Amino acid sequence: MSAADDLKPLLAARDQINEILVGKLAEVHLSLVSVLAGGHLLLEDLPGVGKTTLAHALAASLDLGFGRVQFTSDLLPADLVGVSVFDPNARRFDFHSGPIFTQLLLADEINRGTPKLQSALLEAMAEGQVTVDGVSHTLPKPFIVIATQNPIEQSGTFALPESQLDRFLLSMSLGYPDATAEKMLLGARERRQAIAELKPKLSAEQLMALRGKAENLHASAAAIEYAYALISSTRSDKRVRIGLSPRAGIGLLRAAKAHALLAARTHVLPEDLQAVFVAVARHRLVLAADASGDGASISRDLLAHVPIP
Amino acid sequence: MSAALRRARAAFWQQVDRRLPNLTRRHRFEALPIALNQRRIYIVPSGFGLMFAVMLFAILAGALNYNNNGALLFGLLPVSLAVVSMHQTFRNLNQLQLVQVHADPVFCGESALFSFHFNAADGRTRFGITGRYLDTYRHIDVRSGETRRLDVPVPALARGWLSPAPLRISTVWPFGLFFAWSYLHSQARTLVYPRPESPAAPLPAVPDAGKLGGTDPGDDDLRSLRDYAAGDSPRMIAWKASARTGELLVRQLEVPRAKETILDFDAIIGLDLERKLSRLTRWVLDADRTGLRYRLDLPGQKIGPDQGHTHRLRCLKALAQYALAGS
Amino acid sequence: MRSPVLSPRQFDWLLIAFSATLAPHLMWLPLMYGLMLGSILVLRYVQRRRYVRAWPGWIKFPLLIAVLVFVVAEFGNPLARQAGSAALIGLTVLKLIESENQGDGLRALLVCLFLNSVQFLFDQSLLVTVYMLIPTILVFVAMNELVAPPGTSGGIAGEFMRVGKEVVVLLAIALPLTVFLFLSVPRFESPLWGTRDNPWEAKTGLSDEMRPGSITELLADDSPVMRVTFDSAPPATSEMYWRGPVLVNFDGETWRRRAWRGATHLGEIAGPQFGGQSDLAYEVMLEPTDRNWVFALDVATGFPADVKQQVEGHLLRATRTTTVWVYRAASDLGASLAQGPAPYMYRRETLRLPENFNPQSIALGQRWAAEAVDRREIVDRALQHFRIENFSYTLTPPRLVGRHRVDEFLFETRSGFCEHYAQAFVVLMRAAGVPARVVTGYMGAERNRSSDYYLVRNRDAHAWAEVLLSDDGLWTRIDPTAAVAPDRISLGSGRYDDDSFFARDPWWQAIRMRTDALQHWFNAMVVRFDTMRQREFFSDLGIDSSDWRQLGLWMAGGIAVFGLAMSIWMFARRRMPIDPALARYRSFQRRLAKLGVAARPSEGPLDYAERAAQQLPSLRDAILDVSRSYAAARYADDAAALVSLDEALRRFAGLARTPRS
Repeated sequence: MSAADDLKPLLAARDQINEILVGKLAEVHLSLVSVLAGGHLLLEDLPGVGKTTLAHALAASLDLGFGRVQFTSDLLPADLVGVSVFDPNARRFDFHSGPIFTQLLLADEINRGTPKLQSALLEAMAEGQVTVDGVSHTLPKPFIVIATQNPIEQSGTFALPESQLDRFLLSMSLGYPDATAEKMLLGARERRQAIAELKPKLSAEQLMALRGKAENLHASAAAIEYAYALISSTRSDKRVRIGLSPRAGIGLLRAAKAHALLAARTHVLPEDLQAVFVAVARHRLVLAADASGDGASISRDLLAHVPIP
Repeated sequence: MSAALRRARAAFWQQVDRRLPNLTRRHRFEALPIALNQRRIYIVPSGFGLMFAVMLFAILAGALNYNNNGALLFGLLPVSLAVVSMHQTFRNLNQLQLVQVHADPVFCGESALFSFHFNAADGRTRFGITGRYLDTYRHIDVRSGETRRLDVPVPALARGWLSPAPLRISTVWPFGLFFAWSYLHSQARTLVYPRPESPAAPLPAVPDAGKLGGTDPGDDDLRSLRDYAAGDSPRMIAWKASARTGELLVRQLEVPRAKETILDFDAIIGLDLERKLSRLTRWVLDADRTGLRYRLDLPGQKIGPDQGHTHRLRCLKALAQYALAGS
Repeated sequence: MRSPVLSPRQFDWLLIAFSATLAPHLMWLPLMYGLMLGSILVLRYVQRRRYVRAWPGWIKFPLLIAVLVFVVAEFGNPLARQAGSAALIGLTVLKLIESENQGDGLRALLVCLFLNSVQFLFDQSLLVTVYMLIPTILVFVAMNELVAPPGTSGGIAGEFMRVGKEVVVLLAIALPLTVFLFLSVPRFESPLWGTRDNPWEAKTGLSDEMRPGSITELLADDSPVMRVTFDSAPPATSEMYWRGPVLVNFDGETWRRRAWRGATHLGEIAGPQFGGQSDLAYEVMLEPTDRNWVFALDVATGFPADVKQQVEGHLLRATRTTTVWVYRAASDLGASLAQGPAPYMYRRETLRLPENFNPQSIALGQRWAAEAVDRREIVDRALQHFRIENFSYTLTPPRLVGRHRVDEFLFETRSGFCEHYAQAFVVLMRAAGVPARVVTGYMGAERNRSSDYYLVRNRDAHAWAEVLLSDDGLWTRIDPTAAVAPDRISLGSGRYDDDSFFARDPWWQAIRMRTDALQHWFNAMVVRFDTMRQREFFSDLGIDSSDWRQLGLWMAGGIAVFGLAMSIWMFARRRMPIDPALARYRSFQRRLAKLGVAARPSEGPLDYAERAAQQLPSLRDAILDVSRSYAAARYADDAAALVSLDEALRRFAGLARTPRS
């Protein structure tokens, strides 16, 4: 089976990351789904739970160029995308590319950045290019953003507008490692050092090929019907003010396809949709004012209650 | 309707339920989805239907007696419409489907809101569906392709699993001349947590570090240093550490570790079981609200230490089910 | 449960249904009464729009009294059916002003159904019958709205597209069922209580009294009296004298029938009579007249069973005609009526004139008698007088006010219609010593070309005279109107004196004939469908309706057919097109559920299989096989997987049957 053979390097990469990020099997899996589906990932966590490690490990294992930007309120869009500088010798403007010109960008604490900065990033995410002084500069491929957002209300943050959150294919929370994993972690070598020792398991070209495969994976009418049932359940639930957009529906199917590919299947099963639904929905649901629970718990609840057609 | 009549009717149905359980077909705990069909739908003329019959009888008798064929024709037309409408009343319930029952867990003393989700298995629109749960009546239309919810509050009187009584689904559509009904008793249930103690007893004191097991907050070097990233303030760079590793590292602001506590069943003295559980429930809620890490110690099981939504639910679930017969 | 308060929409439908029911009754209700009820309804509608509240007692009770007073004043006896109907309508309107909840509304709708059938006591025409479908359907639509529980929709009026199919099926079964029941319900030979008297007291048309001069205008009443189908060639319409009551007694103002006093009953000929071979035979369909008169061409020789021919020649029925009635009759058009028993006494009565009335006329008659050789000459003299002395025929004669009305007519106004001429002629004859009497009835008919029958209308009402030309002779018909206006006789009432557009336009005439033909057909098929017709209907089907077993079989068969139609429709569910793989998988789930592992609706096939396999380890492989094949068939659209799914299911079924220890 060539499909399984093609997958092997990716699975090897996954195992390698799991060695670094102990006890986060599901989250690592989801992050690979996101990469495979060609989407961007939003992490909602407190600092210090391994977000950096995850991003770093992903980049190292998939042989992707890695860049990192810490969003602060005084960071300017030019600091992110780059700037045209006049070269007096050549008597012309040279474009000095910013840290965004990388394959995997870790955008840390994205909600500390100004709205202007956020929209510069999100534009780049949506279009795969940046425009400076009227000149477009194409970003490298693949271009993956892993953004982190601090969930605790803090002063000096700019909440991302709902329309912007839609740009992130998946979102998840790593959470604290469980006790055994944490103990293991403490006993292990320093993580930074371990990351440095990670070996790339597949090339960017291989990754792009797998992406193409995922995109073309078969989704039967029955699977699409279930996807639709899930999407529409968010629109009729009274706890939800704004349900999932059609774009979210497309994302759900895209992520499910990637999930199915990772499971070495040629078609999407309800289980694939279920596996990614919460990650697709949690950051997109706009809850009613009096709703109890958060996006994730409501998504989980809907998942448990929407019958499979 | 007078109160006496109402009481008599209630007593009558109680007798029917007791002696002829097959008639009222109060199926016990069926698996979802449940589609109504001819084996479980019952139909009788309604009170209005009987009045209608008397009126039509008078019209027909008069028409025949006076040999007035016009009046006879317009007495027979309503009769025919009524007869056919009986079938429509039946069809209004037939193939109506209960697809899902959902209720969030509640605390003892509150009401659990059970949502019964209905759709039409055959895609026909149903109008005027009435759900009766004890004395609560709710009415819905189920349009084709739609799943409609019928919410009934069910008082949660004791902790543990709460199963609702049978739900009666009825209709008089289209003309109110016939009354068709069926009983639904699904497997649906929800968990009732113990009633949180009120007024609240203060949380037990935070124990010494280490007693809890789990993480030692000690040296958190790894957490407090990270790679330099564009935009970091130079003041935050940990120069010493950077020199040691050869890469720029940035100091991260110290993250306060959550305080921890133990909620111990055995440590509560002088209360009966339910009140102990009640107090523990209150503590779990309080600990969760104040962001503490906590461990719930029940005889035979220890949960945690942990914090967050999932942990809270695990603790509450354990409290709800603790020492229940059959659980 | 308390009856819920009607929503504005429900109340509107209640008013719509009631208004449609009320509308046809307005045709017979007194105008003021109708206006009063109508304005109460309008006020109630406006008030209910603004706020939901019943009208208080200080408005209701005066209205109640007004209604009752009105009914008693207008109709007299409040127990008479017309008065009863009017009172019921009024009380229903008053009920509506205090109807606020569903129970009241539904009861009002039942009353509407009752009023719909009461309507047929007043009018059974085709038009009204077809119209009655509207209030009936509206009552059911209103019922549908009213019984919808709060927060739900009735559906039929508001979302017809969703229930249109149900409604169509409802009507498609209910309408034939109505027809079947209509044909099959046994009719009573005689009423169980009361009489079949029509409660409609005063029908327009022929009366048994004549008072020429007291009316100044003969209303052109186009309503039909009877429709006649001749067995063979029909006579000329100028020969059609339909005999009605004979008027003998005159008191100077009014002509009345001869009063039969005590033992002086002159005898009568009882039916059935069948007439002679050469007589003209025909069938008459008589509209309800609320009289016991039976009309036949002069001289009737054949008539049905419960009819008796009076000595004066007209036919009387044992009961009054209250619904459309069909009978066969025969006539000898050339014959004349003989004098009955006690001819001397009768001749004296037909010579009697009131004293001190019309001296000029009596003088004229006596002068003619003195000059003439025989009675024939006197008759001719009189007809000649009408012809040459400037007499004219008009439907709008001047009113005759004085004591000597015949004098006034003969010597002053000289214009009038048939009644005036018949009266004047008979008075002149009696004065001249010729026994004479007034005959009322109908003259002429209009042929309906579209279905070849003759229609007699109320405006064809006519009066003519009969005289004895010798004391031992026969009664001879003399029509003095013919002397003045021969066209009235030869062309019929419809053409005479009517040159309006409608009378002349052939297209309009054709429409009128077609409509009347339709009404004729409707009367034949529906209104007069009585015991006899029902017997005929059954014998046409080969069923002996006197044999209850055959009748029972017919009823049972019919009901079975309708029951079958309803059951087919009832259980014919519109199945969602179900995937073949899903259908198999559902049965698999049911089997597993019986083994204790019920599927959750939101559980995918792999998860379910895993859970089931854990609980039923002995079936593990079979279960996983089934779900794998199912997943491939349903989610990979792999057609071949359906075959392997069937195999896996068979394997699973085999294993699941074997008892596990």
